[in-house]
Amino acid sequence: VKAAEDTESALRLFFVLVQERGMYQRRSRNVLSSPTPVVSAETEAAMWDLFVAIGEVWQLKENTAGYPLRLRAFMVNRVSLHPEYSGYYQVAARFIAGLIAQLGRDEAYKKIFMTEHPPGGSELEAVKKQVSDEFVDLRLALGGFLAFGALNYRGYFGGANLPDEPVPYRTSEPGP
Amino acid sequence: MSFDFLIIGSGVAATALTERLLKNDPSASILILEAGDRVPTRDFALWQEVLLDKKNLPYVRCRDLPYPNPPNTLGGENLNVGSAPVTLVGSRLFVYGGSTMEWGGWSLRLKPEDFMLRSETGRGADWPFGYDALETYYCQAESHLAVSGNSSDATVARSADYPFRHFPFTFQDKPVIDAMEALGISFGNMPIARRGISDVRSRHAPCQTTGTCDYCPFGARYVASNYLDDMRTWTDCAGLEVRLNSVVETIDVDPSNKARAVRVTYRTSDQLKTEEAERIIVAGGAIESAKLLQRSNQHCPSGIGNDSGHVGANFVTHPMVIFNSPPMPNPLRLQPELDFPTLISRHFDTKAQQAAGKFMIVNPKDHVPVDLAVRLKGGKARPDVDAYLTNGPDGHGFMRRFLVYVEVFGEKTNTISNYPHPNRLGLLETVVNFSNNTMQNRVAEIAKEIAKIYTQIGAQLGLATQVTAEYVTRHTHIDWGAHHAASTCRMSVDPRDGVVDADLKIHGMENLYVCSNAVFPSIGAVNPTLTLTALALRLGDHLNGNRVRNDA
Repeated sequence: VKAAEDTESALRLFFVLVQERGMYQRRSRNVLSSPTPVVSAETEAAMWDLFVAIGEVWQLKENTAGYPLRLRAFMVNRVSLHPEYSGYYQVAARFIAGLIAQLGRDEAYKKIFMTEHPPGGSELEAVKKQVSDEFVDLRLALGGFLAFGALNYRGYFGGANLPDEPVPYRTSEPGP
Repeated sequence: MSFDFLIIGSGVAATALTERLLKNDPSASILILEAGDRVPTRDFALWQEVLLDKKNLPYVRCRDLPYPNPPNTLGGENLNVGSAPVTLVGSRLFVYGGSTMEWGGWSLRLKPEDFMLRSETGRGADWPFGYDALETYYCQAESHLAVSGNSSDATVARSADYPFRHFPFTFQDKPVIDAMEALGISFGNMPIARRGISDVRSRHAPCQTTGTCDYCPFGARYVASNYLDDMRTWTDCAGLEVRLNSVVETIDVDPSNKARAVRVTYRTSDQLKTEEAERIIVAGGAIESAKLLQRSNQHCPSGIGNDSGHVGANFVTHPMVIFNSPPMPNPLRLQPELDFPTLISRHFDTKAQQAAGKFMIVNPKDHVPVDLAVRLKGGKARPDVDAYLTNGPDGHGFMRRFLVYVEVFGEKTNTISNYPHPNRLGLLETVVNFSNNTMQNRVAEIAKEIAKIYTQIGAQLGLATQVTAEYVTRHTHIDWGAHHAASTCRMSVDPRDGVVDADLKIHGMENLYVCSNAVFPSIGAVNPTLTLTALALRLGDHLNGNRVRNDA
């Protein structure tokens, strides 16, 4: 009986660990990892062009002053948590350059943005999911959402709720 | 070494209590034992992860695992043997700071009649004291939690203003406001634990309405670990010590009914040690607090304070009921602009509703569930996104939704207990035994009121058919999460009716206290955290012998 109980306990622990691994946010880095890779100037320029194209395609038109620095910080943070993002950004830069050479700039970006379900395992899928889609999230949060009528949005630093200052979101009462 | 105070758990109860104890005696020695580990807060890179996907919340790993599925198989955690699908996963956290790491910050006071549930309805139990005894501490709790609220709200009497002004109703609230006004349904501002700016000095940052409240990049939503860290870093209270990864196995009680020490396993060293203290406070949440008393059974087979069989019994929680409307067009292009609700109605949280089960209506942050990012990433062009905003994903509009919390009455047969398998932290898993056969009927009654509101807003079935209560009932989801688990060590005047007395001391014990939702005799229809904070501050004053006396 005891042997059976021990076996059950061991199996139970195994399954818990298996599930737990899926739940834990695993870091790719550890103390033996090499120093955080940087995004090269060429890659950063290509990523900035992709970021600009998001605004062009969806006619976002907000003030983009300060965006280059925010985008760089975003990429550095991504790489710091997930070093493989350094590779994603490099692959994206190369892939986009090839696509532009083939289709022209506007059509190249449309292909990336407007393909709802890229082929599984393709470079297009990796570039869209790991880079383009994340940039869309960031672009909306930085201010792109303003084009759609709201004053605040998930991830936007709208500001504090202070007496005698404008409320940082649309309220039920008409504004002054 | 014997500490002056030993506190089990590091959530809001432990933090408010510690703050009060140290305010009264900065030289007090306090040991806090927390079973979980630390999750970084206010980390910008982690915040970005959450911005991209809520599933990336860094504390998800601190939740319970789902129940084994199918039951009685390997994998998963805990056991549910009742008929109601009460879930633990997502309802609480094993982490430094406790469940405040992910709470919503809804900070509502109970109403006077909530303290007299048994007297008013013949059901559940009365509190040993009334609203007035707690009012001063409610004000202090609102300061501790940094609540922004409407001080002119007359729902309950208050003796001091909220520390920060309320967040005005959002544009998304407007159709609901118009409908409730037309129907004569009262409503008000949600009191919410989001720090503002005032003359009171604080190291904690104000809310920047960033819309990512599940992981605030500034710490503007109250998280207990930030406040404990603050006390440890910036005060001269050298006697405060917090030990993480510390699983309390049992409490040692001597024959004279004095708690002497706790036995604790330090997970990082895998050592079992004994820590002694003059006074011990169990503040591990409604579930773990009761389980700890149950398994501390060296002298009493049923555990400490369990002569009357109330430890682990009377388990209650709030079902969160989601009422959906038929799809409705969105001509105002309403969208979520905050990550917390601003409008609530306690119109049905009244004496008149108490016998049937009070309920509170919340207009949720995503009343109109617009999601721009999904459309853009899904390859929709600008004209399609504009059309989506007004006409919804399939051209028929958006389903609106209300959240409703419904009061549940304590029954001695609804219990939690230890399950003889350790979870991944080494704590024994939990057996939940909760049944409720009346909620479906109550939901159908509430649906009549919700249908009126949806009809007033303009919802229709077909071309001109009004929304019916039957439709709303059919489009309802009842979430039996244990977020507001309570009453498992309830307060009572008579030891035969509960576990702790009005001072939160376990009946018959000299120096052992419980400070958690477990001590609530009832929970009304509102979130319990503000009330728990008030109780913790009150306990702190009691332990130092200077409690505000207003118990008449």
